[in-house]
Amino acid sequence: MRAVVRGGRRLDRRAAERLGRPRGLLLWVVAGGVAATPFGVLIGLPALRLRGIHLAVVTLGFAAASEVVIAAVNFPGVDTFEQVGRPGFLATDRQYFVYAGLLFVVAAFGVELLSRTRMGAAWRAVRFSERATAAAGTSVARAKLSAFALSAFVAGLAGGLLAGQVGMVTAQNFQTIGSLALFVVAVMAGSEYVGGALFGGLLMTFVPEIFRRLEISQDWANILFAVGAVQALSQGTSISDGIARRVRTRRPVPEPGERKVAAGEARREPPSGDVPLLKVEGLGIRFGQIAALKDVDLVVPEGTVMGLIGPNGAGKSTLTDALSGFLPSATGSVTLAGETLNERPAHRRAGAGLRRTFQQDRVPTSLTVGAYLRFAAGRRVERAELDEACSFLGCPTADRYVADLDVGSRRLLEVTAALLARPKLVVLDEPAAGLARAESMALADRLTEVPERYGASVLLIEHDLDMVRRACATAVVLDFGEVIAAGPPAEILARPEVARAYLGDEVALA
Amino acid sequence: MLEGAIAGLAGGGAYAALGLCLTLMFRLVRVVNVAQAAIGVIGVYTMAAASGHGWPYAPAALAGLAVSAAVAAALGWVMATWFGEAGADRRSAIAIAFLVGLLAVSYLAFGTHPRRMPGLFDGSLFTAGGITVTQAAAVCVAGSIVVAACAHAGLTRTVVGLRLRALSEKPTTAELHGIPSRWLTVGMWAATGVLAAAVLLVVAPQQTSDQTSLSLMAIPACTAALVGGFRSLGLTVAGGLGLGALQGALAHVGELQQYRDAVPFLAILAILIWSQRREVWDAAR
Repeated sequence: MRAVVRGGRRLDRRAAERLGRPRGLLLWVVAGGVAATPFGVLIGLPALRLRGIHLAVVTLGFAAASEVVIAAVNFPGVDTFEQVGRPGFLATDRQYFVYAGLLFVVAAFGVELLSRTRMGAAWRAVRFSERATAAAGTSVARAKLSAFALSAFVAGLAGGLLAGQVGMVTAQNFQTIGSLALFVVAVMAGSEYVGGALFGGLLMTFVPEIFRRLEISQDWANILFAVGAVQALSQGTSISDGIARRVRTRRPVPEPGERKVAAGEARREPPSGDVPLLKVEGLGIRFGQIAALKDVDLVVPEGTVMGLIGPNGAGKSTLTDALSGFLPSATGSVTLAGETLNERPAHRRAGAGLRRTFQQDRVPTSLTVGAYLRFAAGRRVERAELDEACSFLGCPTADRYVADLDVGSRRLLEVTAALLARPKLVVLDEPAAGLARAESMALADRLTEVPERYGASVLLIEHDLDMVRRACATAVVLDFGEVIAAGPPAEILARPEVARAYLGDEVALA
Repeated sequence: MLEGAIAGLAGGGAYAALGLCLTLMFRLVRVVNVAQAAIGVIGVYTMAAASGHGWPYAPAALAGLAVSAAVAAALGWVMATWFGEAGADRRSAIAIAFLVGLLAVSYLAFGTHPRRMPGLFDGSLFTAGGITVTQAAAVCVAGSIVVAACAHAGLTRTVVGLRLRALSEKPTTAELHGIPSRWLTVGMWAATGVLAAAVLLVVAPQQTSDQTSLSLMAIPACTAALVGGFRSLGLTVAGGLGLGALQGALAHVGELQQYRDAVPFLAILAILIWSQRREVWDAAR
C-alpha cells in the first residue's frame, strides 16, 4: 500500500506542475487519490488467484520492487529542489494539521458509510468465504478489486497530504521497512476499525516523540510496537478489537437458545407442480479417472419441494456445485425457466434466480444478521420484511452478530437469506444439520410453505429421510453419480435398489 | 552479460540458502519467517563488533553464530509457547513483528554507522575466458546445494527428520505420540538462525550494506522459496540462483540496469500466477 501512496504522491507532483501551485493543493490531494486507484487494482489482480502466504509474499515483493522503481525514476522536482507549495490558508503547520484532520474525518465517514452498503458487506463476506460470496450473487473479482481500489484511493490521499506536509518527498520516505513497521502498528492497534486506524496513527507519531523528549533512542518505539503486535496476536484481538468486543457485550443481548422454528399454522401436504422450472440434461462431471456424475437428467417443476437423496459419496454435493456454477468443467446442459445457465459463472447463476446454501458453515461471522440478510438478498429489503422472514424460519433478530450464533441458527439464517433473494429455485444442501429432531420437522413444514410464500421451488438435499418424506412431493435418488430412482418419497424409499444403495446387498436381500 | 550473471551468483547463492531456511521453516514449523535474514544480521554485526574489539576472525565469527542461534531460539520459544496452535498466516504476521523488533534491537546494539566487515572469501577463485568467479559466489552456490542435499537427506532418512515432519503435519498429535514439539521447534529456529548468520558472514563483507538492506534480503529469499512453492528444496535453490543470475545479467543491460532488482520479481510473479491460474476459489469445495 505504501507503493500506492508513492504513486499518488508522484502524480500529485505532476498535477502540481499542470494546475499551477500552490492554490491547487486541495485538488491535487484528491487527484493523488484518483491516480493511485488504478495502481490498487493492478496490485489487486494477483489476489484473484493467489491467497495466504503466496499473496503476502507477492505484496511484500511489490513493495520492494516499487521502492526500486521509485528510487530509479525519482519524484519530479526532487533534482531541482522544488517544494510543494501550500495555499495561504494552510500555510502554518497548525492550519495544515486541521486540514489533514478534516480530510481524515471525511475519508473515515466515507469508508464507514461504504462499509454499511452491500459493497461493504461483500468485502467482509469475501474475506470469510469466496464461494459463499459468489453464491450470494456477488462477483468475487469485483469485491476484491473494489477493496484494493478504495484502499489505494485513501492511500493516494495520504500520499498527497504527506507531500503538502513535508514539501519535498524522496524515495527515502517510502522504504519497505517503513511499510512493515506500519503493518506491525496496524496489527497492534487493529486498523480494521476507523478508531483503530486513528489510534495507530497516534501511536506512530507520539510514541517516538515521547521517547525523543525523554532522550531515549527512538528505536525503542519499534521494539514496543513489535511486542505490542505479538501480544495482540497472542490474544487473538487487537486493542480496538478488544474495546469493540467489550462494548458489544455490555449491550443487552437477548438470551441465546431462543431459536425456534415456528410451526406452520397447520401441516399441509407437500406441494407438487407440473411446469418444468429447472431442466438438467446429460450432466456429467469427472475428477481425473473418477466420474462423480454420469449423464444425470433431472427436472424440478415450478412451485414444489423436491428431495435429492442418496448415500454418502453419491454425488449430491457435486450436483449442487455443478448446478450453481462452481464446476465449469461440467458437461451437459442446465436451464432455469427456459434460460440456459451453462456458460454463466456462479454469481450470475445466483443473479438468474438459482440460489444455494452450503453444507459447511459459510455465513460471514463479522456481519450482523440484518446486514448479512440484506447483502444476500441483493435488493432493498425493508425492516418489516426482514423481521417477517426471520420469524418465518425462527432466525435470531436482525441486530445479533452472526459470530454469536450457534451452527443450527446459522443454517437457518443461510436458508432465510437465500429465500429473501426471491430466487426461482433454491438448492438447500443439508439445511437441518445442527438442528434437533423437532426443529428439523418444523423446518420441513415451513419448507412446504416456501413455494406459495416466496414463489420459489426448493431442491432439498438431506440425509434425514423423515424430513424428506414430510417436506417433499417427489424425490430423486442418486447413487454413484447416477439417478437410480425418482417419484414420491414413500414409494421410492420402498424400492429394493434404493435400500441396496443405502444398506448394501445383504441387508437389501434379507 | 554472462559475466554479470556469474557475478550475480554470489547474491543468488545467498538467496538460495536463505530461501532454503524459509522453505524448511514453512514446511516444518509453519511460518514464513521474514525475520530470517534479520536474525543473521544480529550475528554478523556481533562478529563485526567483536573483531572491532580486536578479536581474531574465527572466535568473532563463532560468537556471531552463537548469538544468532540464541536469538533465533528465543524467538522460536515464543512462537512454540504462545502460538503453538496458530495457523501459518498468524505466525507469519508475528515474524514481521520480529523483523521490525530485531532491526530496532540491532540499531540499538550496534548503532547506525557502517562497520568494516572482515570476511574469509574476499578474493577471486579463478578466471576463465575473461570471466571471474569470486570465492564468495562459489561458496554460496556450493553451500546452498550442499545444505539442500543435507536437509533432504536429514528429513527423509533420520529419526529427527521423521519427527519434524510429524510435527509439521499435526503438532498436537505429534505431541501425544511423545514428540517434544516445543524443543524441536526451538531447535529448528536455532539451526536456521545459524544458517542465516553463516550465509550473511559470507555475503555481508562483499557489499556495502546496512542492517536494513541485509535484513530485507529475506524478500528475494521469499521469492526464491515461492519458486519452490515453499515445499521443494531443489526448486528453491534453483529459484534463488536464477534470481541472482538474472539480477547480475540485467546489471549489464543499459535500460534495465536500474530496475534489475524489480524485473526478476515480476517474472516470478508471472510464473506464480500462471501456476495458480486454476485456483479460482478459496476452498476446495
